[in-house]
Amino acid sequence: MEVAAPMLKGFVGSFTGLSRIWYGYIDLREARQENLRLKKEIASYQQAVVQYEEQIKRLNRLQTLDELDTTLNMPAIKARIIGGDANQWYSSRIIDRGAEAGIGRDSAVICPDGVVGRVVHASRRTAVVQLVTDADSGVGVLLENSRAQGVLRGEGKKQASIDYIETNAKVLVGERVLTSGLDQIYPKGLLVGYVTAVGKRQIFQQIDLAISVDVQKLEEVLVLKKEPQS
Amino acid sequence: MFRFLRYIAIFLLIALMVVLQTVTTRYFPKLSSLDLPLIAVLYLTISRESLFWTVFSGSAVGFVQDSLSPSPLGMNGFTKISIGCLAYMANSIFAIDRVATRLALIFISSLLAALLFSALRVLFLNRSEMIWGERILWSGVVNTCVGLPLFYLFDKILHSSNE
Repeated sequence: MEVAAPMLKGFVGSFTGLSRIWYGYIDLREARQENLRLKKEIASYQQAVVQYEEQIKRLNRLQTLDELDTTLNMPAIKARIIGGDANQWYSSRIIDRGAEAGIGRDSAVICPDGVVGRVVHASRRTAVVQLVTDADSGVGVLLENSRAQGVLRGEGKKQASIDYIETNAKVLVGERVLTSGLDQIYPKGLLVGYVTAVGKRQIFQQIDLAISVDVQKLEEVLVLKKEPQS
Repeated sequence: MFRFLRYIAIFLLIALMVVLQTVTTRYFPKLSSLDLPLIAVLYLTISRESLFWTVFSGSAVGFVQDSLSPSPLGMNGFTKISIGCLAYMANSIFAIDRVATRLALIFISSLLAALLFSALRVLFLNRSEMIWGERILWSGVVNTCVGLPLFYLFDKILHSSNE
């Protein structure tokens, strides 16, 4: 007994030590697996948070469009931008609503920041919008304070110019430029941009303006339904 | 069967280039000078060595591009077919299969396509300005940088569909 007891103690002690190491190893493995699982869970939650934030931003944008829709008091359709320029020489966007939703050629496209452009082709479910920044676009505009009327011409970028403003009109830098409604495409009084420079020429003034809408950041727009012509 | 698969691959390639063009310019406005459909037409011209493919791909790509932009129908098709025919002639003289010749082909074709399109706008759309110098040059540079790797990618895809 006296001889066997220390051996037994030693055996039990070393067994206990070994079992501790073993269980520690097992726990460590489980902890590692759990750590990996939790990391995955956190990543999925973070992804979900990003998605929810995007949804909230989208809902906010749609709410602003709804508010614009109600203030306009005209039949309008919300559309999402799904494509950019198919051709490098034009400034255009493709939207996800078309003739099926009542969109036709020359339907005005606007957003809360101002005028975006007009529809140039409409297929059943999509439409091509020519932006106001396009070099071939033209918008009938009037200056808010001087009430002088002219035609806006895009320059392919965020800048544009206004033609046919007579030299006797007093135009100020920073003045708001609105749609005049004379082109029969855009309703009167929509914001187009702000005057950035005024120069004198022989008959008409050289007026440059910055377009109020950042077309590169546009995601949703409001398309005004074209009323059927009698 | 192999020929059928090859045709499918070519149709998909043409469609993909036009779709990619609209998506690229939507999210990367700095790449608006890129003309992916032109790259596809040039590739089909020199790889198929047939004027049929030049005219077919040029008109198909041009028609789709015109229908997705404010440009009048036919402008892009005319440009693509004209440049494709020039590329076909160049290919029959120089055998464009090396990096240097491909590079030169894409760069020169991009410049010519831009100039021709600009000239058509002046002639038929009453545009006053003819050349946007820096923009045309930039278009050539961007198309060459993107077109060259794409040519090798197309080589891989279309050759694998041949095998």
